[in-house]
Amino acid sequence: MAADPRFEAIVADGLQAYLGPVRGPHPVWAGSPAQLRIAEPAASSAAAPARRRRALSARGRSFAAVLLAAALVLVVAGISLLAGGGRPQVHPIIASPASSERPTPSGSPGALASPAALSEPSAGPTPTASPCLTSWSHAGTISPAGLVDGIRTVAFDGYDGRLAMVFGHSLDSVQQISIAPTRPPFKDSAGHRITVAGQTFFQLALKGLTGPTALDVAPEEMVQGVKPSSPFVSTVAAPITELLRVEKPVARTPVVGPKSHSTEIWIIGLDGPTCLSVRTLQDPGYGNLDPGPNAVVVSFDPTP
Amino acid sequence: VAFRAQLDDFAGLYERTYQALYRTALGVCGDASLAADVTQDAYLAAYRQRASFRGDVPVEAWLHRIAVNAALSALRHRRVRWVEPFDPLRHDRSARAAESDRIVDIERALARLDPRSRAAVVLRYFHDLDYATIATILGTSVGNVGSILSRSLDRMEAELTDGEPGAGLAVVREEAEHGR
Repeated sequence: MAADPRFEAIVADGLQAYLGPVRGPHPVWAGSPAQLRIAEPAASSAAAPARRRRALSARGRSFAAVLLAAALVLVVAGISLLAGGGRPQVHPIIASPASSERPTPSGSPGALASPAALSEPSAGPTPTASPCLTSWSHAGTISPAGLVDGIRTVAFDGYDGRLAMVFGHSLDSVQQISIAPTRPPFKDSAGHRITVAGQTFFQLALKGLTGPTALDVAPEEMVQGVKPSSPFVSTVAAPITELLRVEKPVARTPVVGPKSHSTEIWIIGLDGPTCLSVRTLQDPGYGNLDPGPNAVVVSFDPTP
Repeated sequence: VAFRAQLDDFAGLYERTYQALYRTALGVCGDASLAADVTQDAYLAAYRQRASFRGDVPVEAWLHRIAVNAALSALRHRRVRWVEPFDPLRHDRSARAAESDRIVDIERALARLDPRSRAAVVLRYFHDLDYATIATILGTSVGNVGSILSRSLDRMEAELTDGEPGAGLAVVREEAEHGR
């Protein structure tokens, strides 16, 4: 079909109006992020010989200090021998039990940290223990009644090892979002036993939805290492090994009663013990006009 | 050789081409922050690959090819936008309301296209590049560029006419129809 020149002119004018006045934030090469990234390794390699010289010099100084200390010890030992005539007492060095302990993460019960990981001896000064979050939940405070397009997840993705969920409305209109550790065996909504790839697992429950999450990829593609069939669609990446939905919401209304079932449940498989890190943010790209965040991004960090 | 001289003065090349590349990236990504990152990634890649560039296409087309690939890759990997989408009129909204409508319309119509088609439309109708250059940038045939553009225009027209076109676009359409 031949292009309509009038419409081509409209598009060209529209693009001029849209992109013409726009100015990028880094018009000068010097100091631009790309230039700084190029300059950084060069500066590092230029600094390397100086660093090496400083290290050698420090090593030389510490060797001299050791020699001096050894000489002092010999002098003191000689004096004590001459003065007392006895043998110097040698105090055995006993390792303090505390030196092989690490602070226990102060996460919620059911931490996924393996005992082996927690009993590793620490090297050097004890780092400040950051709490290992192993569960997270959010309860909505706004009634979803009146939101005609309902409450549902409009994006659900584990694209770079983080789970990103975006809702069409503010998170405050979602009855509850919770993430908690779980373990096999897993069953689907029909009661059939299913397997999920991974070493450790979380259960994600989304309550108060009016429809299931529309997925961009087939369920079997939400497995680490599986290339999605659709272009421009990502899937899951390490440390996530698999995202599997085991229950879909069936309610058509956001009003949740005791017999209503409006919960979507996912099992998140991971390749090892993990702490959660959860951020909520506003993503207006999906049409959210409500105040407040509408997206949740969950990172899975290896257990310290 | 001219292209070699251009690449040797990389700072000069950057400053001459930066805004064009940034606008292409913005047209493809639809997000100012992501476009800024993509543009920087493109120049970094160009700087590192400059020794292997043989001058078989103009330097600007080569840079655009890198930038479009960087934008497509970024869109594949960044599904969630972290920042407020770019609003070029946020500082002067009242004075340019009609312009704003037109921009909203064109942004909406562009957003209906897949990223590669967006790149083709921006390269053709904003940068006014010929089909052969666009084919080089997108790594496809001239015939395929024609087909991508034709499909894209159909889709944009459907979006702009079936939706609720803003006043700005309506004015432009009227002007175009009267052979302005």
